Amino acid sequence: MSDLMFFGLGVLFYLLAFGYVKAAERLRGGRDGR
Amino acid sequence: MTANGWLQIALYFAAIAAVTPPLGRFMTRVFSRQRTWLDPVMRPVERSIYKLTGVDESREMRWTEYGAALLAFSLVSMAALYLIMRLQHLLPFNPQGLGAVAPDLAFNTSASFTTNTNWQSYVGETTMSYLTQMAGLAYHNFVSAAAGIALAVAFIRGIAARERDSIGNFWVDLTRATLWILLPVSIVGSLLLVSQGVVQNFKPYDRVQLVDPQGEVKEQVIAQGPVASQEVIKEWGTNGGGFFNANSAHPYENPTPFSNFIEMFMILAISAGLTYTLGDMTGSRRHGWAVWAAMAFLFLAGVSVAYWAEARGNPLLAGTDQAVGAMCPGGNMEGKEARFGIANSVLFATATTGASCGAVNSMHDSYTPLGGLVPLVNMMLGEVIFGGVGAGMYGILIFVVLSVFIAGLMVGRTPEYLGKKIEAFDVQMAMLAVLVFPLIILVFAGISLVSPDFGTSSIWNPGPHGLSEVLYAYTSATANNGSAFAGISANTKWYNTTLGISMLIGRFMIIIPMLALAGSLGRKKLVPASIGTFPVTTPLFTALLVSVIVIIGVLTFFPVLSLGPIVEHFLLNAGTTF
Repeated sequence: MSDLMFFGLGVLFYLLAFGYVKAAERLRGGRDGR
Repeated sequence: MTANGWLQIALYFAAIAAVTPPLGRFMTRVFSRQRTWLDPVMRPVERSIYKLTGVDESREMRWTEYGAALLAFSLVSMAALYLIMRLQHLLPFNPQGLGAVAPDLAFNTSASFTTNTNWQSYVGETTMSYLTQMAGLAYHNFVSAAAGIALAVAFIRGIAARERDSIGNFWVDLTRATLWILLPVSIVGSLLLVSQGVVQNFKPYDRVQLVDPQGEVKEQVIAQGPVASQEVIKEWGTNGGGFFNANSAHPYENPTPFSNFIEMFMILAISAGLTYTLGDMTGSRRHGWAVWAAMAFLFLAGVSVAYWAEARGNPLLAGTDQAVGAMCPGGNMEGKEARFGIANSVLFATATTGASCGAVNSMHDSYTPLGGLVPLVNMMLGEVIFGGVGAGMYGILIFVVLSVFIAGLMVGRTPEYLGKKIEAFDVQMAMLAVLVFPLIILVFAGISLVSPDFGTSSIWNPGPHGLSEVLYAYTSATANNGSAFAGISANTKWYNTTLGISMLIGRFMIIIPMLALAGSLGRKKLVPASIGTFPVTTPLFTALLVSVIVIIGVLTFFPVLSLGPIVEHFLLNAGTTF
């Protein structure tokens, strides 16, 4: 149970981090943003 | 303070200054894929790795892809380390028969080593099998450091690029940093340390009879293991996680003043060299030296304050002999090794916290309040005083962008950095990187300090010293340093989990905006310098950069520092200790 919880916590963090990358790119105006 | 002590500090500093150009030039060649003297050996190995893993070395990546590759790599390697620790009792190379690591500690440790923090809530010699130490922890010592160097080089490429979308290839940078920069020195350095007495074996622990039995205790267990191979990368990669609990204060990790010098040298060498790489790759060596000078100023200021505070001794012991003599090193020697003395202890402490290393050769908890303030402040400034390998470089470049922005505001012009206009998005990303750091430290430390059940119950010392212990733990974790102030039982579910989260946020939530900034800079047009351009090669720039770093650090952390080490200093002088 604990193992699942900590695995889940780690995976959740990395998903958030991937989301952060996407959000920063969108803030920039996407791939072609200037 | 003694002339001998200052001479050793000067010698160390001269060695760091001397290694900066050759190492920086070498790194430029490695990451620009120019020929180096290691190519005949490393190129075939590199090609085999790409062949095996299907990496196309000619493919360039945008910042989003570069960041995603880093995150995917870190996620998988963190999960692998977690599994090794949880299953170590079933795996080979465990002569002591050590059991599985508890889930919360395994989470904390896997986050710690993946993020190049190497915070250790455990005692190495009684918790980790030889396999975990080698295949789990030492592996991360290499790849987390290589990832840091790769990221710094990617950022430099972004600054140097003209209207380019790509910042390099993460897999190539990671591989080249490991093969060309980290591995060769680790091999030579391990042999050097073995020559000084650092152990390297797979033996079970020795049991010896005590010469002077202490009551029931008649024998002592002396831990062994493959120490030297892990010791060098611990410093060279600014990891800091010791094989033994006592870290570089342990005679099997750091036996002699010469081994101590090697270890201190390795902590700052790569980070100093990267300033030269910055100058080389951006075509402005003077800018590289201007950044180096800012780091050097902050380093020398820190070591001077710490040396003065520790050599002054403990005011509560006034009247006893704390003076330097033939038989006495003088000053505050609590928690310090006699073979290193005060100068080499404070030098190590300043280097290890200026960089995000975290190895220690003395116990920072035993420093005087002002002596202990220096390592704490070094970390609070964002680990940019040379900094961790790569992390120090991209950390200070964020401050450089902010400095240039502030200079632009002062003269009422759009700020420029090496021909690139700094616009709203760039400053937003720089501020995100700068603000997430104190947010995590202060929120988690605040919750811990008002929670008697799971927070303050772990503190060993009352009053301001206890506050410093909690503050140090979260600062060390978020700054990815990993050194401990000690005096706190951090191996609890609350501390293991929240410190683990702090390390992950402190690493990746700074890297992502930094990469976004690098990507943004790379796509910009070059603007020719004009009379209104703020030069980034002058002493004025260095002074502004130092001021921005210090002001941001002081403004953010002064209130909490005044409740911790600063008030403790005044209370100590008034006769109260904690």
